[in-house]
Amino acid sequence: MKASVFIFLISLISAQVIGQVSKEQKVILFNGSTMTFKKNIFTVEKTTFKYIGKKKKTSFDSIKKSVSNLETINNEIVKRKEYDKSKKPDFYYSNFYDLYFFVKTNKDSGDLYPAERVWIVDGKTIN
Amino acid sequence: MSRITNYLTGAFLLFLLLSCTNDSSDKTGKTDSLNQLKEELHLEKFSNVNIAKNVEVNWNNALQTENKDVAIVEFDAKEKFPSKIQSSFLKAEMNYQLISIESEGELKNYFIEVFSYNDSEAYSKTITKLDKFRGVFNVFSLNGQNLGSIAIDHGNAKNISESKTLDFLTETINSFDVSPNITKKIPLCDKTYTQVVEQSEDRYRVVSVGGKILSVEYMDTVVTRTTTILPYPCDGSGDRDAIILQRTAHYYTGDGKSYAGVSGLLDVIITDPSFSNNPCLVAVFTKLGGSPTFQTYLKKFDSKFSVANLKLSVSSTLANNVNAETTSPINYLINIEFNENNLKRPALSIAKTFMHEMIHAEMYRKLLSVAGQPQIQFNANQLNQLRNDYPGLYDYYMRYEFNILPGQNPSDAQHEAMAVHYRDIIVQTLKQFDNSLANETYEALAWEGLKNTIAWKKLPVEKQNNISSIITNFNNQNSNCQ
Repeated sequence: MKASVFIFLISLISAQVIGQVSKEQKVILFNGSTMTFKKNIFTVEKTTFKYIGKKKKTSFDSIKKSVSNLETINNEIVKRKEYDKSKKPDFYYSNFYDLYFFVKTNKDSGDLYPAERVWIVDGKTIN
Repeated sequence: MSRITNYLTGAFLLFLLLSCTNDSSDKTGKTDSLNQLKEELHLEKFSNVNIAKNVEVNWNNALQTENKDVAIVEFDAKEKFPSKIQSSFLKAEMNYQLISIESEGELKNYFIEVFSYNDSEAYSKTITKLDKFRGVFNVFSLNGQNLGSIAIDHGNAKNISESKTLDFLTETINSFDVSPNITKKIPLCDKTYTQVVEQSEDRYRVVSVGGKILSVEYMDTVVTRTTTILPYPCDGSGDRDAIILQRTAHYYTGDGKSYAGVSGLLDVIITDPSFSNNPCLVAVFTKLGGSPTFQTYLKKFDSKFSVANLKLSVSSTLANNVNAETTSPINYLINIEFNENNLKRPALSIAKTFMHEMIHAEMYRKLLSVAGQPQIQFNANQLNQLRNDYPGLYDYYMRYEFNILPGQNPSDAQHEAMAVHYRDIIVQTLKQFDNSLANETYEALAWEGLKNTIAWKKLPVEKQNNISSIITNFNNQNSNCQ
């Protein structure tokens, strides 16, 4: 009995770990001319991402296979069977991907910022 | 003979005994009444800081008067640090008094603040001899509730606040009026006065070692001067609402932010000096404090429980067509900013702006409570929580801001939600503010600020024109707040 409970727990934990690992890593290269990074928020064409966790010094080579952009990511999402077209693709980012922004600091390396899509309500209501 | 003498002696002793008994019970009754008054009077609860901190009652000197079926007991009250009024038409000295009136077994107590006109004789420290007095009584309950004002002109009292709670006191004062019944005019409400209170405090240096005091040396005396400019409560301008607004705007606290009608709610919000120095906004805000609906919204920002703070301020740099702006929270602070240049509107229209902005503030507060951060940012999980906690707001934000699908136009989610679901709240508040108008006026005013919404655009053009016309007429036919 104890053995079966133990096996069940191991299976559960493994499933969760596998689930986490199974999220695909996507890295967006930060481009200062079309993107902004202010107060922990990356903004790409009005789509906002919050820097979460800790940035890491990383060589470009180590992330280049994961480099993508929002248009490509969106196109991938709409092809997935889980996608419900009543919602924009960005609502699914956290379901399928671990997102990062790579901010180049020198020729071959830079900082890798873990990020998540956030929806921000700011500014003013004017009457 | 000795028998008769004995009877007379016995009767005299009995009379003495009864007299003593009556006297004793009378004294006990008076002591009880006095103790009850002492217990009921809470000067510290008064929103007027001068009364709360600077006035004390002289309990040792009661003035008793009886007239017809009314028994009056009056106690003089004095300022610990005498304040001075700087005014062209008021005497510099203010008076305070505690009045207890018993009639037909019912006891009514009042605390009054007395303003005297320059051409009046000094206040005689009794409401029973006012034939040579001209001025105004600000009347409070013993726990500081502002009951309104009574204007006095040579013994004749007029309940200028038209508050029913003041009818009895007004009638009592008038029962002592012996002046001929002529029409009396009370000054216009277009003036202010300045109240200056100087408080001095001696400071000492205490030298102690191990809890033992070695010496106490006088250092200096610090004088604190508080100056407050106040509108004068009065009558006769012809605009009763303006009088009442101005009258209720009287109750600034020392930092200029507290008013009688909303005194219990003022700790809830932050008032910028630009706001508290604006008599129009302060008056409207104060009167709105009497609206249960407005209070309910304001209480959501009670700092003990709220996730957000609310600030009221005034700007002179907003665009001409903007009545006010409400800022999304920054560091938990939501700011409602009024356009100083757009206050030339009737008070009810400004009350509408207040409530419109309060609804925005409340929506921001709800969003912030889900975001759990100093600003409103949602990740995917928090969006799900928003859907669960506030499905209406979630729906409008998704439809008009977050999830605008191809072919749809972005819009202001809060205004769209307000146009469909919150106009009734605005109408209700406006009725509580002033219930003298036709329903269609409130309905029309509630549309102001919502004319860019889909709900407005769906209205038939004739209805839109009718609403706009009602608003225009209302604005033209009523006097402006500022």
